[in-house]
Amino acid sequence: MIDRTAAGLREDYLARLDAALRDVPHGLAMEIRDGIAEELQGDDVERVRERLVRLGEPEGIAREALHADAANPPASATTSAARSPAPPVPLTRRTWFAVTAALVFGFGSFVIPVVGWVAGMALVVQSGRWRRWEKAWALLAPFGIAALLGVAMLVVRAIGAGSVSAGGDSQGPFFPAAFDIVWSGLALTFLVAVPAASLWLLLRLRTPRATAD
Amino acid sequence: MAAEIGAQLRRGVAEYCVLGLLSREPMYGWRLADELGAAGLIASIGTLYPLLGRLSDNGWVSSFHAPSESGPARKYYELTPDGRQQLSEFRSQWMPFAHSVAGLLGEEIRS
Repeated sequence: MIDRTAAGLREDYLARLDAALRDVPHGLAMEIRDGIAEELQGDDVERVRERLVRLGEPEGIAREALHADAANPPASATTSAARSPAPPVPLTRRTWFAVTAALVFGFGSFVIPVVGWVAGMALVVQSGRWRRWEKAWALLAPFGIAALLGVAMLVVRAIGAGSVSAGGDSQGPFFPAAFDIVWSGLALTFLVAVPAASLWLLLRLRTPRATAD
Repeated sequence: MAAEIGAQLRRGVAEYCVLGLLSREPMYGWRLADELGAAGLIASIGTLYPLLGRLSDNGWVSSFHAPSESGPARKYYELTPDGRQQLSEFRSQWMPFAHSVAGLLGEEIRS
């Protein structure tokens, strides 16, 4: 059953708008969505309908946004407006490029160890679909987690070493050796943390946020 | 062809028209889109936000949240001092430019 209440019309339109804005840079998409969502607030069905008619199809709004973002020169430009047709959306702003970058970053090492991951990092950095802080978080957080694990294991090892000093016996099997720490850290980083960061990047492509940063 | 000419003209002045509107008072996005759309300067609200983004990046426009006339909180845009300066410089050039163009086209502009 189609929900024709004001809230139903609003949510339906915003869902269609989110889908249409998938190829629009995230910050710009959020600005557009928030501005439209503000205007569609309230329970007056006729008012919401009238606003939706004036807005037009979400695909048209997204098309205009991409065109304006790519084609319009900045107001500070002293040269005359370009006469050539609007340039196409750059490759690095395409959604498929970002999805590929995230997947190569997260799982490239399973195909070509280390090289795959490095290539994925480069693609993520190149993509224009994430903000700088999002890229930094995804690329650096796995190493932060591995570093924390390494520190924790060093502490455990130090405790074990202290036990050895006190008791005179060699360390038991439960205290990590140096190579345990290194290999555990590498395994955690590349088998768990990096793929998790990759999935987080993919989610950031899909999930609209209520307010822009 | 006519559409291309219009698009080029609009592209050159749309951002300054936004500055001009905001010089009257702070406005939220929908109202800006209404005014600019009525004047034929933008096709849809999708055209407005890239403009506002560039104006913000240039430091000519800032934003804040406040309750609107109808109640719910909205994001308002306002001119910064740099924005006022930029608008003032555009105004000083616009009329002489418009008159020059009109003269070359054999038209007359009533000031």
